[in-house]
Amino acid sequence: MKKINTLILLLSISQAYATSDVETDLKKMQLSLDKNNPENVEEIFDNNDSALGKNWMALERLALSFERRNKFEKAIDVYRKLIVTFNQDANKAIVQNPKPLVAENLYTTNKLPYYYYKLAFLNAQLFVSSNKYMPAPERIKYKENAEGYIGLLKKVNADAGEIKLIEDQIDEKIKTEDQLAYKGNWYALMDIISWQDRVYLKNKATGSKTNLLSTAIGSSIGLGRKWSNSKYEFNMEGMYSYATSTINSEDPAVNYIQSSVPVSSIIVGPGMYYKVFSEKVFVGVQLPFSYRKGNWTLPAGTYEFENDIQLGAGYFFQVKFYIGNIAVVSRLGKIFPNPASHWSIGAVYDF
Amino acid sequence: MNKAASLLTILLCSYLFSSKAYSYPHFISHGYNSCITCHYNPFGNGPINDYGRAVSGTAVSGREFYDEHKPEDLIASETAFFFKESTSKHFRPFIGFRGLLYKANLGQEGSKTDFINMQLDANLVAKFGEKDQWIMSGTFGYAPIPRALQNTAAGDAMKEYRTREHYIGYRPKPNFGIYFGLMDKPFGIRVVEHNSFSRITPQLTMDDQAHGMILHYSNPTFEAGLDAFVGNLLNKEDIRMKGMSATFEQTVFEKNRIGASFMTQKNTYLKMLSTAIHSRSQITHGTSVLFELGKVDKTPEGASPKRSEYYALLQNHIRTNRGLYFLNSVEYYKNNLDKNYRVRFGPGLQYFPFSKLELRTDVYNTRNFNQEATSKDRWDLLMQVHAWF
Repeated sequence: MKKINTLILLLSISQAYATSDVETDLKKMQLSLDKNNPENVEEIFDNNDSALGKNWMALERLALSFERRNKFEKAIDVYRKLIVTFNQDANKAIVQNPKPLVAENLYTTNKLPYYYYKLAFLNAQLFVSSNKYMPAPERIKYKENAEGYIGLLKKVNADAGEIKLIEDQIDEKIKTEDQLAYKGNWYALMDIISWQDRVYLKNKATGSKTNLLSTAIGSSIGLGRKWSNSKYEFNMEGMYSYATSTINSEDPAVNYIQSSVPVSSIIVGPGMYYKVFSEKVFVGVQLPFSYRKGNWTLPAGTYEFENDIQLGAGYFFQVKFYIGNIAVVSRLGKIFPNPASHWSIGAVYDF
Repeated sequence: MNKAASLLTILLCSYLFSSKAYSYPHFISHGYNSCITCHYNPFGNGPINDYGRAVSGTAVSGREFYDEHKPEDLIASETAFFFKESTSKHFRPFIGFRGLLYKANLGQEGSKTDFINMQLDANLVAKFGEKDQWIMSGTFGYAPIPRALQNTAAGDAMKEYRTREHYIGYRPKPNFGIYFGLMDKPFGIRVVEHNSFSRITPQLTMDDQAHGMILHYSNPTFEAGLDAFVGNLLNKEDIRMKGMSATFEQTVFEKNRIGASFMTQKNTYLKMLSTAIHSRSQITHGTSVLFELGKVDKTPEGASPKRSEYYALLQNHIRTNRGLYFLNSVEYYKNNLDKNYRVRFGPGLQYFPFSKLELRTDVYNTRNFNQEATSKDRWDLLMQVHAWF
């Protein structure tokens, strides 16, 4: 009996000592937080984790210390532990109840709304600070977790302003990512197009060559695929052009002229635009590769054309601006070996 | 060089070397729909008012040459005549200069470079009345004789030092004014480029002002003008263009203006009837598109046939950053007497490093389309410096 009494006495003393130890540690933890030394909180907790791990006040301070040091994942773990260890039944009731509960009662009976807010906020921070180097499932997990806790916050009728702040952060991040992500879509274009060709008229009998200059103007239609984000647009397009040309000899001694001669061309190539000035104004370059064929007629005699069929490549400087779904685009550049500029003006329709 | 190319050369030479103080209709991109916001003349041109000076220093010009902490209102105050805010309520002096470095026929044999002093003007605006209802403006200075008129009787009659604008205006109400004097005729979009087909074709270039009376009405969404003119009284009677012009603009969809213009004028040798439609649109802040489509019927006295001329202008201004604009123009011109027509592409850069200075570079690629002959493209380079005080 005496032994039992002694044991009880020892246990009581030990418990009292432990209680006083926890209280002291809690004060120290709070003091560290107040003095903005959150790293000390973790140290205090680690030194007495068996006792402090069972105390919700200690765990809350530990979570805050993680939060202040941007160790959001660890803070999330602690808040989850707080829910599971101290509020499991109430949490289950909220999760399983489809109807919103009255917030005032919950605030007075438990701290779940506070933990939900913290978990929503911290998951949102992790999602907002995520970047392309973070695996997609992890990023999605943070976003979905944040949205889940926002749902719980709404169920417990938490402050709408606070909920909106978190939602706005998530929306902003989604919007930014959306703007930077390249999206592909098709477009059609229709242009008025003009260029000049150099064609040679060769006398097979004498071997002499005469320079002919052709000026063509016509229209073109095309189809392209573009990939664009908020800053850049890359595209690949193809166009068919049908034009009529006037051609004459550049040598006054040679009398050769034809007008309204059909000339057709196919132009394909990649291009890019830069949208630095505005969402609606694009400036860029295109790298066209062309195939061109002209139906000029040979004069009577032993003549042949050189360059009546031509492959070429070059560059266009291009500007386009959007009015609704339609853009006005103008291009000025050169396709080699043409002797002069190649320009077009037309409209682009985005599907 | 074929006939069409020669004609083109004459037209370009005639009109490239000319200037006055211009208006900038593309500043609709900054939300300025009407010229009268910044100019004393309700249709632009001529000296800018105090507000216009402030806008030129703040919204329009760059900040690269200013201390980053310098307040905008201090920059605005330095835009006044010779950097000092006027102590007079009634008088506003103005001095303007434009010089042009012009290299014609780039890359061709015979290409040459000229520097032309296009304008050196002094102007004084006097305004009176409680709300400055009375305005008097007079400009006098140097202006070159147009090359097309050099060594001709008309050119010999012109003086290099002359006035190209003077008028008295009265605005009894803020939205209505009446002006008497020598002024540009209101018609179409008064673009800065006097070599543009939209200015050459209806004869609205550097020396086409006329004495007359202009009525101007404006409200926030509508603007109209009516001009009855008797020609420039400083010219000989037989070449004075007499007639009337009318123009209006209506705001549609908030940031766009559409308009139409009409003008009839004649002198002893020529009768002209001009019509045009136009639009000005703000695409985004600092970026605009101007479009004008016009027809001009010219009936010479005597046996010469009537000529109908058509033109189109599409001009895009893109503000790359504050003070710097990229310009992209496409122009079209045709007349019914031959099968020619020409198209001109004109990319350019316009830079306002700070208030009182504008630097501009344009490249023009002109292509002539002719059923009877084909000719090489023409390339021209124009570099302008424009200073005002």
